[in-house]
Amino acid sequence: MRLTIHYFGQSAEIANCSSDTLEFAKGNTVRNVLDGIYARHPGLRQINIRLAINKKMADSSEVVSEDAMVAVLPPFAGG
Amino acid sequence: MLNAEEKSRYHRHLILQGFGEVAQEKLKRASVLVIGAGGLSCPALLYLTAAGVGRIGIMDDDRVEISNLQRQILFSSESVGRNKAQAAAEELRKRNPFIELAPIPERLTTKNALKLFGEFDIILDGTDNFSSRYLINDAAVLSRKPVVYGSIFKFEGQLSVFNYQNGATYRCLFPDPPAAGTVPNCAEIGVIGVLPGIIGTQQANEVIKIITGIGEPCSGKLVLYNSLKAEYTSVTISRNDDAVEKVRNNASLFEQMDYALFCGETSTNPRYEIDLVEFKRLLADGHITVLDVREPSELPELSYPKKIQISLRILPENTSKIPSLEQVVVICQSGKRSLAALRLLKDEYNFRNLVSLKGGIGQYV
Repeated sequence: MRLTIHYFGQSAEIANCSSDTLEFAKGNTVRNVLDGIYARHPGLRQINIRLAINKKMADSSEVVSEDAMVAVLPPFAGG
Repeated sequence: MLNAEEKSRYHRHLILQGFGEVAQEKLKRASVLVIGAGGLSCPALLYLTAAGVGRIGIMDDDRVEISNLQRQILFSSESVGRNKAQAAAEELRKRNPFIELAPIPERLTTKNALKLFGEFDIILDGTDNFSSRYLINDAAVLSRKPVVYGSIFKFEGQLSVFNYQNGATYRCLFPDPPAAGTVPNCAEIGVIGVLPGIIGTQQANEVIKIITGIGEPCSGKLVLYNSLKAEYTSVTISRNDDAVEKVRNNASLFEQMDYALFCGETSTNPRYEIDLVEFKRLLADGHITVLDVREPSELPELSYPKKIQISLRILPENTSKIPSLEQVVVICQSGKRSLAALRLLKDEYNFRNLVSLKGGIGQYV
């Protein structure tokens, strides 16, 4: 299944795009999706990201459905 | 009770359906501790003052710098050099004599946090670093106070309300801080001036909603704002009871906790950091190589007789370019990334010839 990944903040800089699409197997979990994102953009391993699936912060064991919207959320320091 | 002058002042609130005198009285009885008097806090303070929040604490031990004026809208050229909390309080008093403004020209620490938080109803996080944000989270959980959170990165912002009516906390969202030096702050990468204005004003709105009970505070919700597209995205956050329990169970350790160390913002070993005086001396001696770990696009451009530029992000793939015998000084804008680079190269690649410039070259130029 193809998933569209949306990148926010510094993750968009590291991924060098605001969104891209990656291929995953049906039944893949959030953990699998995260690993896939790291494989495509290894620089993301350094910055502590969390994934939101369909606008909800996700636990790693959740199964991701076919048309899910995935957002990559890094922490921001600035104030 | 509102006096005649206050009723004139807040007239537009008093006649507003859905708000009115009851809400205005609640504002008058409320107290907010604003931590940091910078980009987010300046607009938040202006609106909380205008709204008539009865008591506002302003905490900052820093001084106004000229580069603050591009976005920290409480300050002017005359404020430069003054303590930020005091300069802010003075400006705000001119605008509303009916409220109490309490400047606290100190840094928030584990020694003063719990007592201070106990004295206010709501905490507004206007800080610009992770150690403060985690400290604020933990102190708020321990003192059972809600935190109105805002943060910014270049053109994007985040907004939420933590620890409100058993809602999610900062650690439910980001349990652990990022590795030192990996997430730069505004001093290192810049920020569009209006952005903290937008996010900070929204923080004031959340404070007002919590005090008065109107609308729905952003509890359990992370609002993301992109100023380039003027787009909002909201993501729901669940409370992680383990993350909260862990803080409560470690209550007795709180005062000993070194958040700066936890977030990698300082080094345990002073031997690995040199100051500006030492750096200049080494440059004059002529035997060092400078390793610049900023992004190539970062300004100012610097030249040294022997210089290598490799950004921290891609350091692991480029270690072969770094000399391993002669003295290498690692630099970045504020000293955080260079320290992270030093740790990485020392611990994982066995470099023994590195020091990091403490405080970065930002202080140099």
